[in-house]
Amino acid sequence: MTIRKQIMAVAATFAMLAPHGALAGPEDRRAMFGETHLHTNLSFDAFIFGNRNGPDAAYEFAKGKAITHPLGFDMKIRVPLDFQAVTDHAAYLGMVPAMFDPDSSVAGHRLATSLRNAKTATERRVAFGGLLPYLGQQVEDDLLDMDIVRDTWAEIKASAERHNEPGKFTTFIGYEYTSSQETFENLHRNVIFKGDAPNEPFSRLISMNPENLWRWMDSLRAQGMDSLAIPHNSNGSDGYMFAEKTYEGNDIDADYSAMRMRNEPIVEISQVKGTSETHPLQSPNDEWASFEIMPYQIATWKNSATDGSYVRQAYRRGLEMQAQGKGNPYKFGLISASDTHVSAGAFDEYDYWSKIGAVDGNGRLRGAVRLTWTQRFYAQIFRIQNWWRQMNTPEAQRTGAPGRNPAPGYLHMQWSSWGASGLAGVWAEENTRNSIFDAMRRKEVFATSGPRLKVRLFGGYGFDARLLDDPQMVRKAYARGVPMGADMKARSGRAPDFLLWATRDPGSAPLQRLQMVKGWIDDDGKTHEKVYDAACAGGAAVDPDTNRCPDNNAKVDISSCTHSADTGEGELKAHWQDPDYKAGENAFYYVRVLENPTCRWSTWDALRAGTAPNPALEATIQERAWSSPIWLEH
Amino acid sequence: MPHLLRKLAQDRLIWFVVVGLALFGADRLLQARDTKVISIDLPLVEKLVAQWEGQTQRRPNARELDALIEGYIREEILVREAARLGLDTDDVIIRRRLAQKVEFMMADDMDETLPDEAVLKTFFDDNLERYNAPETLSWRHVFVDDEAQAKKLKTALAKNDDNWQERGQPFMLNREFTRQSETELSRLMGTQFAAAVFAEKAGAWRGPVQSAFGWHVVKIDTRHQATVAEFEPIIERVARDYQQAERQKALAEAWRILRTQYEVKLVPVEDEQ
Repeated sequence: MTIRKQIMAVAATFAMLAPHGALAGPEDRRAMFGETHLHTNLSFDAFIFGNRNGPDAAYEFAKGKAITHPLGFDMKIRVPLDFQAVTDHAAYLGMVPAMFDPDSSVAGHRLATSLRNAKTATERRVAFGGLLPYLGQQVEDDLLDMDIVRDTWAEIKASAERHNEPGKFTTFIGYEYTSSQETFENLHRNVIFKGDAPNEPFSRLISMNPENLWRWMDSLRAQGMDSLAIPHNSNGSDGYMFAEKTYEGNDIDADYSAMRMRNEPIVEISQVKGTSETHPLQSPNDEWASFEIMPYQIATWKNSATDGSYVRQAYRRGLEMQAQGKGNPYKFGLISASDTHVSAGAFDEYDYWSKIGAVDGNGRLRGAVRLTWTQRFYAQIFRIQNWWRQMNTPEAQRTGAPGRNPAPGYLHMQWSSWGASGLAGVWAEENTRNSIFDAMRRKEVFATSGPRLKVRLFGGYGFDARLLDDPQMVRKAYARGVPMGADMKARSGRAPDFLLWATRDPGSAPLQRLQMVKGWIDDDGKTHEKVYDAACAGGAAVDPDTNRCPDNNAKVDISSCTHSADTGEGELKAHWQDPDYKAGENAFYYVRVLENPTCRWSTWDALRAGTAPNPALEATIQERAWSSPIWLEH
Repeated sequence: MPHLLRKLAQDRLIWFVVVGLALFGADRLLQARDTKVISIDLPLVEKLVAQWEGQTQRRPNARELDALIEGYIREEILVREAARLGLDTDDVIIRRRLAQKVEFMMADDMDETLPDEAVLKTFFDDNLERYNAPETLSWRHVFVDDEAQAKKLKTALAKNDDNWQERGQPFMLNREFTRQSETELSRLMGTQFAAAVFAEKAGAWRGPVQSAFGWHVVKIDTRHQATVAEFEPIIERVARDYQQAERQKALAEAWRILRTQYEVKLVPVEDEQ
């Protein structure tokens, strides 16, 4: 061996011992955006909705390539993503595509014929309904072929490996565990693996009880295979997602709480099927609580109870349980995702394609564009058909009826209450599986309703307002305090300091206000919540009595969808101390940042079609982002 | 007649035919009986044990070994029965597996030897676009949210920029970027800002340039021209790409040859009358 070669060998060894990431400190963490909830044609429902894009196409889309919607138009993302997980339904994974394959073992199944023949949006919905009894396990399962499921899962894993480019674009192997209570009370979770995954996913067909999923994840973790489960659409859970009892109706104890937090450190707060931050009934004093509310249980017309279905209340409930010695099962961080079923997330209001393909792929189908008289006629026939099915099948009775159409002339569908949301933000050193997964585990993550808003939050003692303009702010904040997602130990009865920081998306509207949302538990074990404005557009001062910014008069012209360019900020920062702090009270604090109002997707649809917007739908939207909380512990 | 028989018996050709027929018949009989024989030999047992060890990390005991062999026998018999019933010919999963195996074999047969440099050079020249890089900047900036302040800051930095990292206000994104293309920059900070930065001259603090976030005093350290790639430094990458391309080509060729060996007949639809 020559000397040069020896030197090279030594250098190579050092390079391996000290990889790039090991040198990076927390101040080097960058905001990266990704998608953790996406269905391809391998999901039973997505295929019925006309999706023919597989996992490869989904990853190509995330990297910036245009792919085709079931209705034939191109879908292209405005800015490519940094990471993505494909999360198809594990139950009957790959089985519907197999039913369309005349050679497969399930091609002769009676459902296969009705699926193959479904062409119109209505027929597709009816065909989809035929599968529901199987998912509900109310009929004998003559359909499941585990060979097909395993082959499909292997293909999903292989696709994730093909597209993973450390440093550039990260993929995660994942799937959706689509569990529920007995009548569509949504308990869905996405399972994301840090690295490799087992040969078979744990689906609802094995157990509907999420605790059994967690036990499975625990046992894999013991073998060195780490994973996270991310619950979503708590808004459609009828109160079961963040309940006071376990799935079986037992009391929650400290072991349950520890197991849940070990496996579910983060929750999807917003996605196409609505936002689950809070509900006006839960937060009557929060003027921005009525945001993208989706009132139904998933895949039904039944109203979902708000108690136990929203994130902010879950945080409060967690404080109560902790005070009762049950541990805190609801100490989770926040991300958003799309839940698209066309292999491509729609994140922008002005370029929206909803999520269920041929069923809601244009403005008329989703109730944003006025129907012609002929279309209204067919819509009436469909209503009658639906009513007839309602009378005749127990399955349809369980899903409920649509009720009165609030805006005759427009279709009234569940997906009229859906929206263009959202993205997962992570603070990670590198664009790699390890770095991003670790950020999720330590909950240093944030959620947006679609735009690429960036949010930071630090808590500590001895921060002051000067730090906001200190070029070394981030390094010092990490050194002296904790970031979002962390617990903070209260010190000697002093109110802690917080640093709040948000920047706009250059491709969306400027920022209107930066807020702190607080929840706390008093001496009597009762919880409370309060929203404080912390920084205002135009440098305006917050009124100390109302804790509100003055109105910045940002406007939207609905006839052209132009919005105010003269007000609003590129970034908002604040040093904030809790004016209502009381020593001894445990609390959580999270940041919410609001954009100026812009046109909602439904208004864009109507504008392009040249009809008036549906008066029953919100015409504008205030896009926003949420940080994960910091928990103050005494 | 005996004479004729005797004569025939003396004919070697006849004997040859008779013996041949007898052998052929015996062989058929033996073969038929063979399909009901399952041979267990040492290599097979070793294979079964190795599989077991892979799963359990220990050697099987006598009882377990018996079970392994019995399991193999069971599988073998069922597979033969399935083949006898023709179940292997119309099962879509088996068909796909077999087709896949042949594809893998075709890919495995490829020539993996490295070609000489001249061949690689030609490949490189033919695929130059793939190796050329767009114009990029290595640049830094200091951020403030106010234009007047930004102008003052520029004057100050022009005099002394030793502690440039301690100037201005904190910024949510990097203060320094290395070899960033205009597309990458516009994704982070908007197209107008990216175009404005790329239009600046290198060397001194310039601007301030406005972004969606505020004002930036900008210094371009190096402008890396859109480069026509050089062959020598990236020869290994070219070799990888060349082999990948060759593999694709060879696979396509192997398929083409295979395809020509088959005639595809279109069966006309029969008239129902």
